[in-house]
Amino acid sequence: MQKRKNLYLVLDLTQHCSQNDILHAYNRAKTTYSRDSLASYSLYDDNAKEGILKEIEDAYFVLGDARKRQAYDIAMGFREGSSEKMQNNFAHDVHSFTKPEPKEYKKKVEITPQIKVDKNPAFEEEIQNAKSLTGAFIRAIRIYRGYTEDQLAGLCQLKTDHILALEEERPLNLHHPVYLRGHLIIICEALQIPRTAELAKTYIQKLQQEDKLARSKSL
Amino acid sequence: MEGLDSIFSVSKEETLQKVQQQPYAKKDLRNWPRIWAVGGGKGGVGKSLISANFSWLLAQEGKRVLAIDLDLGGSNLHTCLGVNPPRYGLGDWIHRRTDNLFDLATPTAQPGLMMISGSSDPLSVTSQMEERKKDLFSELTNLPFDEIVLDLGAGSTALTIDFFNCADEGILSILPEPTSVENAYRFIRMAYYRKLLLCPELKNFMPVIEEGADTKNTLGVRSPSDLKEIISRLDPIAGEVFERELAKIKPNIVVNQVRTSQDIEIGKSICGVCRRYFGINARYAGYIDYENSVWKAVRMKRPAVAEFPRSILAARISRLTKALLGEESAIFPR
Repeated sequence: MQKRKNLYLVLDLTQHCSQNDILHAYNRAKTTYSRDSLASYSLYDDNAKEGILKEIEDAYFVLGDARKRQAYDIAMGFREGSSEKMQNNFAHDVHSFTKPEPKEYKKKVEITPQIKVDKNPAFEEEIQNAKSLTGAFIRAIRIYRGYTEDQLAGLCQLKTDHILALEEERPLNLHHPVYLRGHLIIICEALQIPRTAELAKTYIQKLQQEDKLARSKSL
Repeated sequence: MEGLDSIFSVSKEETLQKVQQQPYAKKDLRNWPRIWAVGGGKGGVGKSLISANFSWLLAQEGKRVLAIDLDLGGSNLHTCLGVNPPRYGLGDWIHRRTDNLFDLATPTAQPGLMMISGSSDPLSVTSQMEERKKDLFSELTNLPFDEIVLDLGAGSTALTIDFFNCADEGILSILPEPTSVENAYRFIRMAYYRKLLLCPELKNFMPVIEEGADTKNTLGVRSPSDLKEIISRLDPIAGEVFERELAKIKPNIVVNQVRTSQDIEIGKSICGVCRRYFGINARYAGYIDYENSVWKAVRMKRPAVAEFPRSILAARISRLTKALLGEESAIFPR
């Protein structure tokens, strides 16, 4: 019997990863072996890269679908499963499954606010007319909207530590500004704060000004 | 050069069996310093920057640190550490003017950090270093320091590769440019084959390994990871030895002079390619931004983390240090 390939290794993952990890790994692998990639140009020629990209597509075809992934895990012995039907489904080649319709990758996460807070028209107006964004303001709006840090992290698909670092304005624990802007926009959209891009810019500018001031003090 | 690797591999394994299995447990029983080697395969990638600032931050954590400049042809680690050109350097030890390496150590402005400069006479020293590198490594283990940081020279010479392979932890500095990435892979490739060729248990497979190292070989070896499969098929026990030796090659990748988000991502891609092509477990430890603080600090002849402690550069290097010490998760852990 032909030894089944470990599709997780193709995407540099372990079998305990989440679906989100699989998606990120797939996108990263595609970039790594693309024609103009810096990481692979001196080691692989175009033919070799095409072969690797096909392997990556095949791996994602299975692992990217939760149902197929479950069947694959059972067939490989990564997961316990008593369903013979699932094992039989994977007895054939990967391509025995019909190719699915193109999926929407961005799934909306529905989370119900945990904390019940009364509506405050004055605060709503303050949010609508906000000219700048600070960590304390983000925290106040989050509490007003009734989300815990964990809920907001789940909603925005970020880590709770990152939400806390943003609220407490701890620059050492924040990502590079190119990522930070995107995270702030996602958080503003989740908290229904208008003019997301503009306000995200003010947050980053404030951090940069504080850093400049600190540096000039140390000179 | 036979068995250079075996100086440490057997006795260190015995020692490690006696201490708790933590990622960076101090080997208290024998008080051996942990040896870090900073390489890059190409000049100007930031080896001295990383060596100087990493050593400085280790000393700030309370460790006793020795930084050694092994870039014999272009030693300038002393400048990056804010030390005047020392009178004595590694060349004095190589020429046997002194038998004690500790005599050559110069203190720096950071308490706990000392450094040994490279040689001012590279022409005569480089050839003699080949003969004395085994002695040098033996001497390093006897020094009274917790951490030793080796600033390796540019290129992928046998000397540089041997020091990288024999260190406890290797740090590879890369720029997000095609030339640097290509040279880094060349460095890893050299380290890979050098490690195998020096392993006494794989003596019988030297011809296969040497043939596999040739890119136009007739064995069908398209990448170093193919070689592992061939040897395993020939002899499963040799295959296990092969895997064990490969597991020792685990470079920590640091991307320097990052300007864009794609530059940050390149580190993760390089780790993935290392796993697939070489079959080794590289780790993306962190990145350093392209910043003016770097050249300003060099002109002031001070480490950047000392001169601009509250800068983003200092924060990056601090985070990188924590990731290398295992106190913080790396960007792309093994």
